[in-house]
Amino acid sequence: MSQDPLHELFSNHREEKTATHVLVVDDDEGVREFLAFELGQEFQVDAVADGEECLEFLASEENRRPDVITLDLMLPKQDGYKVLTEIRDEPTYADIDIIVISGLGQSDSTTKAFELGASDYVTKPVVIEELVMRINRLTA
Amino acid sequence: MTSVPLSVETLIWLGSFVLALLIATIVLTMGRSMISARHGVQVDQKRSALRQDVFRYLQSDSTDPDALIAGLTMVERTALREIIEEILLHFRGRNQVQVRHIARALGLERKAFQEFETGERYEQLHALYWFWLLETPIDRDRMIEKSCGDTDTEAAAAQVLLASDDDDIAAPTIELLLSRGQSLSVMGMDALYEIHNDDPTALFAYVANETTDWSESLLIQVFEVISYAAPVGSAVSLEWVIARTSHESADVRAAAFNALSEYGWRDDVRTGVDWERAVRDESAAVRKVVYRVLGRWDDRVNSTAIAALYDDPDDRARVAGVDSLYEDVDREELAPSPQIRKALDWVKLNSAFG
Repeated sequence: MSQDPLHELFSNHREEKTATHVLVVDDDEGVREFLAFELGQEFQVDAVADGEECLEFLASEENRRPDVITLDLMLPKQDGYKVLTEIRDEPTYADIDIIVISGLGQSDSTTKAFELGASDYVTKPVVIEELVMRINRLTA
Repeated sequence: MTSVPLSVETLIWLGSFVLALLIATIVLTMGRSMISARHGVQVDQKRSALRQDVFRYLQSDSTDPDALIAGLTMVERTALREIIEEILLHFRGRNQVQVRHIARALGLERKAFQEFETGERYEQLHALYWFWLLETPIDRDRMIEKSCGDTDTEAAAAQVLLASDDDDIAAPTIELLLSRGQSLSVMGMDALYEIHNDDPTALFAYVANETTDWSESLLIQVFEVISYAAPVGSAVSLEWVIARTSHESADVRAAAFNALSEYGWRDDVRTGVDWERAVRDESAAVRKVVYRVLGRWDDRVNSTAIAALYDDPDDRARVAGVDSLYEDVDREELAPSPQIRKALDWVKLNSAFG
């Protein structure tokens, strides 16, 4: 599992902030790290590169359970819909909010994501302030 | 004409020359690939460390990226360009101004201007991409003048214009996209859709005075855009669309009818189109669209459609018609013909599993 290199850089800053824990799931290293950097200024953030790592992260007792997952739809191995389905099939993860992030803005993609249990849907380019507000709204 | 046979010696020389040329080409190609691959690996290696530097700069709220850029090697500059490209492409909001400062300090905007003014098609597209990413303010007339003539360049310029803060951008952008009457690229259609969604009056105002002989594919694309966007109010004339429901091309007629599908509430559409003729169009594809359009409206004109449907000679059009006009066809007093009953059974079966 890839460890977020921003952990150290922003750990002190994060602790002063809210305890909301966000897990970023994105296979694109640049996107994943920038998202982790931006969200890391508001929340406690971890980041993984694909669905398998996401499910391993959730299953591991060493990790703190995230309050919110930002989930990219276009993932290698298994796509975001599959990961979303697997998380929603597990009753112990029912309290985790999932924000799907996608380059696809078509209504059938959004409908499918909501049908599978997404809490929210954000299209790229992601407006950071908007994403932060959505996370705050979900965890309020 | 007589041919002179080549001597064995000449053939050997010729063969050796071709072989040498081949080997030189292979060595050159491999050499270039290796240099390029090595450069790629070096850029990858630098990217991770540079990304942390960029994040530190962004967190500092500084708008002077000189310290970040000073002393960077060519490889590091390439890595930095890729990092900011990635950020600008996928994100908006806070820090964007700082990221654009880095791009400008790297000379990307200056290079884009240069490429746009003096480059060939590819360089111009590359320049427009960076104008769009950096939201560079451009002289609108100059941009249109330089972009005109190539479908992709026009579409890219349209996207840059739409991203700008310029007021009254709709009309010149529509002019840029449609003036040549040629079909649009996907990006061009996207731009037209965006304009039409923001200000539907602009497109109808343009087409009302349109005199260019448009290609069929452009007409179909424009109708596609109209059919996807929200309907316009009664003050906007749909005469241009209505007139093309009688176009000589069946594909254009079908697209024009489809563009009217959200306008059942407008009397000018109900009375302006010859529905009697439409439901008996010679093209089954057009009739399918007409059935669907009328099926979405109330039953004032549906009796015309139903009458035509009973006589429709095409199986697929009949199924489409029954599917669209289901409620009306299913009435007992209409005593459907065996053919209609067959289509109706299929639609019922299909919807049961649908």
